[in-house]
Amino acid sequence: MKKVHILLVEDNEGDIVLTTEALQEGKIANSIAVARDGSEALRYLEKKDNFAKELTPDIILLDVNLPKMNGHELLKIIKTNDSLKHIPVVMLTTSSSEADVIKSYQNYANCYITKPVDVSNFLDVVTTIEDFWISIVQLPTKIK
Amino acid sequence: MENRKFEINPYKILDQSLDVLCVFNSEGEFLYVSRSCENVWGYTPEELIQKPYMSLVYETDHQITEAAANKLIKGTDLKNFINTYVHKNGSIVPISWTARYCPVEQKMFCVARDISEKVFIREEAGKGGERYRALIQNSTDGLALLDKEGNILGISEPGKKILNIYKEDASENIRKNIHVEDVSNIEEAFFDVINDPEKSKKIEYRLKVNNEYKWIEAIFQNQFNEPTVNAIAVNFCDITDRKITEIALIKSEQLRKKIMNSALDAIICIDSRGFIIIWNDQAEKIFGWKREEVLGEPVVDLIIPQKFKERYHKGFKQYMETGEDPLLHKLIQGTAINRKKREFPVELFVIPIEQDSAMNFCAFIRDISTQKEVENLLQESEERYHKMIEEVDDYAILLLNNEGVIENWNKGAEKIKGYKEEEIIGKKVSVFYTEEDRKNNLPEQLLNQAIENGTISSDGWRVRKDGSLFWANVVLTALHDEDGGIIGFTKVTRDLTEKKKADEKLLKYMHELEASNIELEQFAYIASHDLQEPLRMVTSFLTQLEKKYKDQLDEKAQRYIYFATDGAARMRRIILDLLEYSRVGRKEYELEELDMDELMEEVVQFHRTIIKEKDAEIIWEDLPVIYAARTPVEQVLQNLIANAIKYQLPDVKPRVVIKSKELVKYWQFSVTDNGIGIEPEYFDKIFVLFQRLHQKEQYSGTGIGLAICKKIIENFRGRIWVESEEGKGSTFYFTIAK
Repeated sequence: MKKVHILLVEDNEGDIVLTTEALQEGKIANSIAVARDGSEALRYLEKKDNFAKELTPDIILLDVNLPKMNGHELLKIIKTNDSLKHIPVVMLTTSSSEADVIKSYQNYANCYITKPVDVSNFLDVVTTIEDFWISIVQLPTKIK
Repeated sequence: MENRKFEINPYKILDQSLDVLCVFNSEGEFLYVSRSCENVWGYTPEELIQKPYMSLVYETDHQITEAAANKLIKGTDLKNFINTYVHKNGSIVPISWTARYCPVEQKMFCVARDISEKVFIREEAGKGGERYRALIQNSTDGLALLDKEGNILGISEPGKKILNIYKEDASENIRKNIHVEDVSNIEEAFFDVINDPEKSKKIEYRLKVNNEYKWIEAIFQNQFNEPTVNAIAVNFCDITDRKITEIALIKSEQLRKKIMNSALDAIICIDSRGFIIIWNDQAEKIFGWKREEVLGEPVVDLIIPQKFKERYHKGFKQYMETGEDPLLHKLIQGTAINRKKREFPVELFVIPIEQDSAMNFCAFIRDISTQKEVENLLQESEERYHKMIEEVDDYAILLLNNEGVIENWNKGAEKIKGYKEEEIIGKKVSVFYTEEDRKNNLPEQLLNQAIENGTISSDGWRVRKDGSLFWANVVLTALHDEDGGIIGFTKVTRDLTEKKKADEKLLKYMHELEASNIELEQFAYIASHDLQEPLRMVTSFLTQLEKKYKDQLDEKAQRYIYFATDGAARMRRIILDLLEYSRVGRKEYELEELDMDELMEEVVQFHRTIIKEKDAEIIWEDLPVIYAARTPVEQVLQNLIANAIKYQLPDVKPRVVIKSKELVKYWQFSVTDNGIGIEPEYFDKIFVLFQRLHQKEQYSGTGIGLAICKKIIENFRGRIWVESEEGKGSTFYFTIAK
């Protein structure tokens, strides 16, 4: 089985640690790249600057509250970009605000998950995400 | 002496007789005749002496006269012998004779009476000559003779014509044609005359002739003592035409009187001496004097007050001399006095009326006391009104003419605008406007709008005398004359500067409040996200720490970790509650039919875990269906029931009873528990945010639940309160508007 590449867009170091740890502990072989704000993530996806040699991710975990360019803005760019819009975007955020939920789906987010407060629940969620989007779901093969 | 006097002039006495006394010799020549012969024949006694009477007798009567004279000489006295004579002036005179012949002296002693008046009777009795018949038949009057029963014995030709009958025995016909109202009059007259010889009676009655009533005048005369007649003589004529005129006159007079008496004005007429000749009903009413009391009295003594008497006399005199008085033919006001000497205001109109070359004055007088009173009241009210306007000092009340020039100024105007009355009257209203408004013709525009709309109200800055500005509310009203033309304006101005300032301040506060609300919302958002984020980190990593390094940590370290995570959890709870509290009232809820029994089922379901755990009993029955917002009401019940179960002694089984009561405008609900109760001093405090009565170790909670309940209930204009006795339990009440 091919290694799955995941882009985590998150500014909270704690969540980065918890998420990456959970993903690494998971059953599926994967590689994780982290972008700490929206514009960095965009540069990563467009392979600009020092990201030229990076791989296009198979799945993106995207927080909403981000410095510089927030999650909604980035999502809109991804989903209107022909070479990026096929990538599943999982919104993973502390916000449970209805407005955020609606806005995300209107911008074609693939799913929206509110981070559970309890740590063990959070870890369960990350594992479930990995399980669903990587092992259950059939993702498209790389688009050239 | 008396005898002597009597003897002195016997002939003089004879001369006084109305009958003619005369003495003839056997040849029929006058030997003596009394003075009254002049009245009968027109000749003096001197002219008659030595003349034969036969020369005076009308020729047709010579025969009967001779026969009568022969009878007399043979010794038969004459009694009521009638023949006719020719008067000196040529007229025919019937004479009735009473005579006796004295054979010794060979002289005839006679009394002659002129019976011109009775002659027609004799004629009809058929005892007279043709002459009388002609006399009677040529008269336009009718003549009838009646017996004692009233039957017609005879009737003259003109009489027949009047009665329209052709036979003489028409008594019955005539009788039944007499107007029913007049029958008794006729009968009365008839019997009067029958019982009293020589009496005559004149009556008027209606008789139906040719189906129409005619008025007949009849004179009944008893002639039973007249042997030649021996009947009731009725001399009658048709007076219908006269009667009709008379009746019309009477009616017209009655009508005139009625009209005069029903006039609203007193009508008083005086003659040229000032004496009252007409005084109608209304005059009686107004002045209190009866007509019969005042007729013929001088008017000046009765109704004219002292102060006007001189004027009355002067005017009277002036008119008599010049035929003029400025007060005549004119409606004037003055006063009059009534019988009780009370003076009262009147309106009068006097006209001179000339009748039969005598001057009368007629006055039409109306009592205007009431009218005057009303006028006075009106005037007083108007004065008060003026005074009021003058004194009002919160409003500037101005009167403008139709060109906007100030005509009137009150205290309020002086206070608000700073001008004294003498400084501003006559100036244009535009002086109160700002330079800019004047440039834009605002004053003229407002006046025009008032003309178009009747009244307009406008707000704006106006200028005081000292140049300072004030915020004015101006109400301009156009005033119209009876034809709808503009005669001016009223302008009522209020100084609303303070109000304007207050309004502006309020607006500023409202903006501030809005901003503050937005900030609060922002805060709530921050609280829900940004505050929780670090908190989550604390708990998460403490949990990870405990999980991954459990073996390396001693018991003390593990207790520290417990306190840290517990604190974080409580802080999270507080943040969430606070967030909820801040959200109450910010959301608009839809009202719906809410079955409270059903709602309680849900609440119990919601609390099922703790109910089971504590073996609590929740009781309610027959709760109403109310019209309210589901979520907040459910939240309140959840909170109250949760509290009721929670604040309980450890070994007591909680029992919670929910009841409802219908008030006029509200539903009142109560939640009663058998819990620990609350001391009265805390009854209010428990509803305040973060107020807790117990240590968190005893009864957990953030102290927000009741504050949220209170906020929800008050938000729906209800009320929440508690009644409790420590140790026995509490009852929480709340009301919800129907």
